[in-house]
Amino acid sequence: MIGETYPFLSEDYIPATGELFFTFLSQGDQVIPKLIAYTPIEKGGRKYFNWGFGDLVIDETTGEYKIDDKTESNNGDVKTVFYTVVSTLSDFFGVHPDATVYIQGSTRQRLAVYKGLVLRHWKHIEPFYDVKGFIHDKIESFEPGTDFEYLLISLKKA
Amino acid sequence: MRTVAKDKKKGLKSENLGQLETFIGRLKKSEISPFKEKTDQARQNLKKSGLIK
Repeated sequence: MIGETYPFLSEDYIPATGELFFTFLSQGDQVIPKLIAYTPIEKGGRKYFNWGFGDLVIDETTGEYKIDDKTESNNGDVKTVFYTVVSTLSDFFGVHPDATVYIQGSTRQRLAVYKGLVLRHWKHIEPFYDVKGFIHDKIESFEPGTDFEYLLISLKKA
Repeated sequence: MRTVAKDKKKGLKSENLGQLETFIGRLKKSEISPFKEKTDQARQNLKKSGLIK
């Protein structure tokens, strides 16, 4: 536990696909529904999962919610949102203890903000998770301050 | 363990909550593939790095 989180509106695990979905409300300047999704990267696979995170916005054409992972909502609650998102990792690894989570920022701004928060809380993350990153055409152990293209997170085994 | 924010009482309008429930229902039925573009890109990147075939 590294900080205060928002309660989840929904938490779903789909056994047939291995997917996990979480929704919650960002309650900063506005109320914005958010989605976190862990989806298998290989068809039918359970080893690597993409970690997706974005706003849910109403599509003006259909009147239904759609995912927007590009917009920076700047809702004034980035820390609480970040802690909420990170808190789902333990749920994910509770279901898929041997899997690896692939994380790549959808925008440079979001990546920069999250990287800063990861660095700030690195001592809380490092004891529980193996974090590696892709840089210069190879996978390397995470080093704070390194500009990785994407991250791979797995559960640290005792 | 989570420490849940207790002083946050804002919510969605009931109309939007209904729309959100519809969205979640469609997710659960796999009618929506969330972050498909990113997942496809992740597959390509992991193939390039040799982690998957």
